[in-house]
Amino acid sequence: MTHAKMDTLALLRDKIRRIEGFEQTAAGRLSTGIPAIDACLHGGLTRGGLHEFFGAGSDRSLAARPTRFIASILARTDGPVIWASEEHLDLSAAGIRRSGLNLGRLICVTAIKGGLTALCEDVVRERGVCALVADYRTPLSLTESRRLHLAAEKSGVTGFLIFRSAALAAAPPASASVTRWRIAGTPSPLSDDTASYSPVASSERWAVDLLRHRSGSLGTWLINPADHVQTHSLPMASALVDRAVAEAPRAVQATDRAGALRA
Amino acid sequence: MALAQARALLPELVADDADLMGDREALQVLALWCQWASPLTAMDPPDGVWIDITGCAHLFGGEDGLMLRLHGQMERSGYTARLALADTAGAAHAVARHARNPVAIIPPGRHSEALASLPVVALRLPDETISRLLRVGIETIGQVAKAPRAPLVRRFGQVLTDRLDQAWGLLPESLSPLSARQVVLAERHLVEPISTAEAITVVIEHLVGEICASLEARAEGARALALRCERVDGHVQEIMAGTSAPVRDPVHLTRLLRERVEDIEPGFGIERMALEVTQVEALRESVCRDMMEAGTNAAPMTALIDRLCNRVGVDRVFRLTERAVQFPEMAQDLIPVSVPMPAGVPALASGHDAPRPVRLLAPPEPVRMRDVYPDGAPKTFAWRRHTYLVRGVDGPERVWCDWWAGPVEDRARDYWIVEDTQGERFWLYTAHNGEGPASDSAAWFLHGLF
Repeated sequence: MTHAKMDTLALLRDKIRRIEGFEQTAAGRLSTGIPAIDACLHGGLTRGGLHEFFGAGSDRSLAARPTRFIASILARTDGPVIWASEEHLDLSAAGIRRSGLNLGRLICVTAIKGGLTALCEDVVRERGVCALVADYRTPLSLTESRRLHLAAEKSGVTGFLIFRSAALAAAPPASASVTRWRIAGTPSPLSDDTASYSPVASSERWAVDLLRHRSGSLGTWLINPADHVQTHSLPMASALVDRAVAEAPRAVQATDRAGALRA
Repeated sequence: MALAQARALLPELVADDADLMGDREALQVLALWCQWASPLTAMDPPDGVWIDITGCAHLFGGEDGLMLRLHGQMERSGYTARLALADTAGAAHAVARHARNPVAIIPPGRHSEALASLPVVALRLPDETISRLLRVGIETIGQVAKAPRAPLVRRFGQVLTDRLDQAWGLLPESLSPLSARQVVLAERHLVEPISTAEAITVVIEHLVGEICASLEARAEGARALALRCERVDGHVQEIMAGTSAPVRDPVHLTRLLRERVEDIEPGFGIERMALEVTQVEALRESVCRDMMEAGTNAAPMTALIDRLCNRVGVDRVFRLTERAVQFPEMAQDLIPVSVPMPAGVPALASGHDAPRPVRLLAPPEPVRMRDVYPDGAPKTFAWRRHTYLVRGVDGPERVWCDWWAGPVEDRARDYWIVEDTQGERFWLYTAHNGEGPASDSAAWFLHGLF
C-alpha cells in the first residue's frame, strides 16, 4: 500500500516536472565546474532557461564577478555566444580570455536604447546560438522575462542576464528565471610564507549565493575562482561547502588511488 | 591614307592601335544608355546605334523634340553624334552617315528622295561590290535604283538588291535589340488596401517566394533588398535590408523583412507592395546546399548576424579582440563581425599571463589614498564616498607604455590587486614616470574589480 502510494507520488512529481518543462537529463545542463554546485543543480544550469546574476557589495553596478562566473561556465560549452548590452561594452578582452572563454566565439551587440529586450528575444529564438549574455541596468518586467524564458525554452538557448544596478541587487524583482545568483567576495586566507612589508593576499575567494532555484534547493558556497587560461575551467576549489570545510573529496581520492594500487 | 603619309603631313600626329573590343563594349554601353528613349535599341557596329522609336516619340514632344534631346544629351556626354530618323533602319543608317545635316529627319514615305543622292557606300555593301559598282560608273543610290534589276543581280549578287530593298522598306530587316540586365522585382497590386501586420507579412512572403524563384533561375543571391509600400494616399515607404552574404533562402529573407514590418506606417492602407533586389551577387550551388543542411552551424549564424545588423546597425555588431598594447584600457579592439577573427593572442598583449579583470572602468576612477604600507602598497583608500581598509595585497605589476607609439606623460603604472576587509578585490594603479611613484603625492586610480 505504502509502496503504491510512493509510486503515485513519484508519478505525480514526474508529471509536474514535465509540466514545468525542465529536462532533467545531464545533457541539457551546463556544468558550473564546481561539483558541489552542480550537485545542487542536478548536474548544472538548465540549458534553455534564464539565469539571473547580481553583483554584491562594491561590485553591484559593475558586476565583474558574475561576468567572470558566467564566462567560466561558458568556457566549458561550445558554439557562438552573443553578448548584448545597451551601452558601450566595457568587457576587457584579456580578462575574458583569462576566464577561459574563447574570444572567437563571442559576438557583441550594442542594442538601441530601449531595444535590448526585443533584441535578446530575437537572439534567444535562434537555435544555432549557444548562449545569450545580456547586461541590464533596468529591471525586466515579469511579462518580458516570461516571454524571454519561453523563447529560450523552445530553442534551447541559455540566457544569462546580468543586472548591473545597486538598486536591483538590493531588491530583485519577480521574474520567470530558473535560477538567480548573487556572487560576492569573501576574505581570503592571507599567505604569510613570504617576508613582506604588507600582508599578501592569496587566491581569491567568492561567496556564491543561489537565491532562487525553481523546483530545487538553495545554497551558499565558498569557492576559489582560480586562473584558468590553459585548463579552460574553474578548477574545483577547496570547496567550502555551505561554509564548512569539506575534507571529504580529498579523502575519497586517496582511498581510490590506494585501491587501484592494490589491484 | 597610310600612316607614313599622315605623319609626313603632320609630324606631331599621335597614333594609337585600334581597340576593337573596347570600342564594341563602349558601343554596347551607349546602346543600353539610349534605352531612355525607347526600350528597343540595337548596336550597329562599328559606330552606330539603332533606336526603334515606334510609339515613343510623343513622350518627348514629337520626333523633333526627341532628336533635339538625344543630340543634346550625346553632346553633353562628349560624343559627336550624327542622327537620322527614317522609316527603315537601312535608310537611317545611310542618311546618318552621308547626309549633309548632322541631324536629319526624313518624313514618312520620302526616304527614296533622300537616299537617291547618297553614295553607294551608304548601302552597307561589301568593299568589293562597291569598287565594282564604282568601276561601272554607278556612284549614287539613285543610279542603282534606276538600273534594271536582273542584270544587277547577275553582276553584283543578291546582296546589292537586298540592301536596296531593305533601305526602301520592301524587305524586312530584323534588328537584335539589346536588353539590360533585368532587375529582380516582384510586386503585388492589392484589390483591397491592407493595414494589418499579418496581411503585410503574407504579402511579403509571396513577394519573397517570387524573388527567390527568379534568383534561383539566375544563380544569384540577394545582398540588398528594398521593399516599397505605396499607400492609398500616394505616400511611398521604403524599407531596406541587407545581408552579409548572398542569400536566396526564402525563410531567411522573409524573416529579415518581417522584423521591419513594425516600421511600416500603413495609414489608410497599402495598395501596392513591391520588393526589389537592389544588389545581387553570384551564389554558388554548394553554398545553398550548406544552408539547407540543418546540422551546419554557420548558416543560422549568418542569418542571425544579418538580422542583428539590420536591427541595430552594422556598426553595433562586433567582435572583441586583443591588441598588442600595454595599457589595459587600449588593449582591446572592437572589429566588425565581417572581419575574421585574428588567430591567437598578440605576442605583446597586455598582461599575457598576469591577472586582468573582465570588466574595466572607463575611464579609470580616481581614488583617494589615505594610507599606504611601507612598501608602497595601498592600506586605506576611499572610492565613491566609501572608505576601504585593505587586508591583503598582490603586486605590484609594472605596466610600461608603448614606447614605440611616442612619448606619454606617465610612462609606467604600478597595478595592485588589493583585497578589503569584506573580501572585495580592487585593481588599483598609480601612474609615474618610470622611477617609481612619488612617496606621498601619487595619484591613484581604480581600473576595475575582480
